Amino acid sequence: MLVTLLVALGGLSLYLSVFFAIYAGVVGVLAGRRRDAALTSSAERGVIAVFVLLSLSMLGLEAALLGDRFDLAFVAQISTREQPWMFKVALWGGQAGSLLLWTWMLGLMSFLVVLQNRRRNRSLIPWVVAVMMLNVVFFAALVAFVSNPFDVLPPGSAWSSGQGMNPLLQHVAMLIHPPILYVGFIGFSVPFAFASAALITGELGTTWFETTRRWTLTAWFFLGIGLMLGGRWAYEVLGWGGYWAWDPVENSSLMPWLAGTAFLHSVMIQEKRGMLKVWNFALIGMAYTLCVFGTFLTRSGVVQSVHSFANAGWFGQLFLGYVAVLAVGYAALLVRRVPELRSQTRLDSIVSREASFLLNNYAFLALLAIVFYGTLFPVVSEAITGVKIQIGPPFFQRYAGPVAIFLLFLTGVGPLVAWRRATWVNLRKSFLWPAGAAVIATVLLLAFGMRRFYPIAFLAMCAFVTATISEEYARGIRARMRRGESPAVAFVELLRRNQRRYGGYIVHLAVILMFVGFAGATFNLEETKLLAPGERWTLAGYTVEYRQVRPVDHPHYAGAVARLALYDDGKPVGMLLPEKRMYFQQEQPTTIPAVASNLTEDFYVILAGLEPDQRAALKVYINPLVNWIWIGGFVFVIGNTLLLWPMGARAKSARERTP
Amino acid sequence: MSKGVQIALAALSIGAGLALVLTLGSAGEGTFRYYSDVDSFVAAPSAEVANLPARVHGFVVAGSIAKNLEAGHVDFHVADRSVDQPGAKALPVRFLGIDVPDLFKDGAEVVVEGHFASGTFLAEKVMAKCPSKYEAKPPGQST
Repeated sequence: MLVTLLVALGGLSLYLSVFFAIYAGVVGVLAGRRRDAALTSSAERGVIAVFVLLSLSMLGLEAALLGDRFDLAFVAQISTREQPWMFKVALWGGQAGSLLLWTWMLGLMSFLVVLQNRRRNRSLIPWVVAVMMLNVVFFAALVAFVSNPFDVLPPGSAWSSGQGMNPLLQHVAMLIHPPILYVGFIGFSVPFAFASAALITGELGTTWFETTRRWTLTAWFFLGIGLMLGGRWAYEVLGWGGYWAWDPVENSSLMPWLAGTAFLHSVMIQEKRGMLKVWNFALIGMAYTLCVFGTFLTRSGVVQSVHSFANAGWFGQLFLGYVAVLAVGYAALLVRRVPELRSQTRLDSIVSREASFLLNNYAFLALLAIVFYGTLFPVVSEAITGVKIQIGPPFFQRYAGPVAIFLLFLTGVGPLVAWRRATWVNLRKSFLWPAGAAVIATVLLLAFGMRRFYPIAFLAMCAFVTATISEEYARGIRARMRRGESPAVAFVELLRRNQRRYGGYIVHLAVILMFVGFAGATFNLEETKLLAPGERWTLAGYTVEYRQVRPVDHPHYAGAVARLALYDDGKPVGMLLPEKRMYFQQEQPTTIPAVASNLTEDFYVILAGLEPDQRAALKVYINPLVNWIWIGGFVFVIGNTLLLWPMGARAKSARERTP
Repeated sequence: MSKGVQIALAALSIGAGLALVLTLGSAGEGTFRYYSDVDSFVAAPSAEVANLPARVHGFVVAGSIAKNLEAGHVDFHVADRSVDQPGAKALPVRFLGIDVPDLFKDGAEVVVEGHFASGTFLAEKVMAKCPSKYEAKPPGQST
């Protein structure tokens, strides 16, 4: 009864939210044009109504999922009676539900922006509301009229249970991956809306990005975590031995992250030196448009890939039209303001912090261009020549590799080189020991017999950057210790007083750790062998003994699990149990890898094939240094948490209060 | 020369370099010609397909799979769905490995990746497509 009510209410609220969003958007525009406070309040109340309606809609869909309403096509598609509740509530397991989640998050963020700005940025807010609502109208209308999760199956065809979530997706990382990624994607809508409002009103100062700095950083942070969780999931679940395939779906989240990274760096130059104003507006426009474009790529099925889950015709065209409206509209706003956005200062020297940040921006955009090109080339080539040219990982690695090395170099140089024009003394003082670290790393690697360019270059750069970071920390801590602070207190105070700088270094450190892991990939080994029970196989210092294979019985799948004893240099490591499953309901086979992992390398094995006579084809991947990527992921989370933790702001306002 | 011009030049040269690299790259390493059906691959002039990296989409011809586990390869034929009809051509494929995907069986929809040499498509990879990957299909109802 309650379920029925909630579902009915949810379906209705969805339609209503479209109309309230139109209302709030139109009134926002009027309020902005007339600078009318009463109209602004009305638009804000509209935003609150939209948020409440979308929340009711979410609630309705969750009720339908938990209440096993298999008469709804969407519920029947992604849920089953037996599915554990934590997978039932994951309404992002199918297209209609994930679009509703997306819309609700837009509504939530619009609501939070309205709350935050009750007494701030009053002249920008009507336009911010208008832009946010433009987005909500599009997505809410898409959910309500094109891909509605409340659609009922035709009478007589109702199922007693559903299809169930794809077993590949039934994994903890996958459960939290989409919502986290969405916070990233949608979070960029807030700085985008403020940038648009600034361009419309002509309030072109630094307010628009300073007031949204936390939003931008949070969005970027979540997008980064989302990328990492996706990689982790691919590694643990998909069973192909890797974590990143340059798949269009992956690329479509990487692109806005790259644009966002460039933006986070270049706004610092505008704050300090009043340069790069047009550039910053352009970058945030690019970041958000790429978020929406990425969603289009993955949802419309325009580029076929492992996890695209849709191919409805005019759904894609509508979406592409929306991306075009965003991009062209924003570009038009920006072009109109270009004459007012001239730099206050000029670049004095190529050896300066400004220049290194500028180069960093070029490098990020170059990476973006490479990924964009590689992702879209198949589509373009098919449209123009009729022959689809597909692009595999070697393309991306070949072109992104050199740019990444250059970026790592700048990561070390940027924070230490002097503003305006670096002197020889400054350079010697800052870079003597980091350059030494890079040289020592190179010599050591060569001495250990490494002869390949990329790993040496990557690892040498990692040593270089790590040295600059530790030098900065050491310098700061030593300075504070001279004032009588203990090392621990000095460390905490350093972070607290200069949160952005020292928090940023920790994020840099995270990236360095990840690159150590990426460098390891150049030494990946992969081999397949057919083994009979009792046979042993020795490779790369390991010995695997194939003991036996056992059938697995489960209500939802049948499978086989191989028991392997693993020895490293003769010493037993443990049992590995790679598994193969066939899910009945979805006719979906899955391969579950087994991994023995340490800080040096992963021994990753899958049961690639099983013959009737119990012989097993084992595929082994030796992946050096992979763990450093996940360790880097943890450090990334720590660094960003430090950056976002409201300690600096409080300390600052406390200082302001007591002059 | 003002700094602005210098920067513009730098940007331009970076852009031009990138464009060059990317144009060259389009036909280079890591790219594949994609054929959505076997007939068009078989009918293509040999200069277009011989020894060039390609991906071909088709269906495994029933009864054509011959695993040679000791030698480490699997032979089979792929053809378009209309293979039963007269005139349809089958492409002989040798997969240079034994770790075929789970869904690989008679009639399976596959994409083979490799190159064509002396009458056989030498595949380094065989990717099987799941017929009902993410979209729903009522339980118990066949496709």
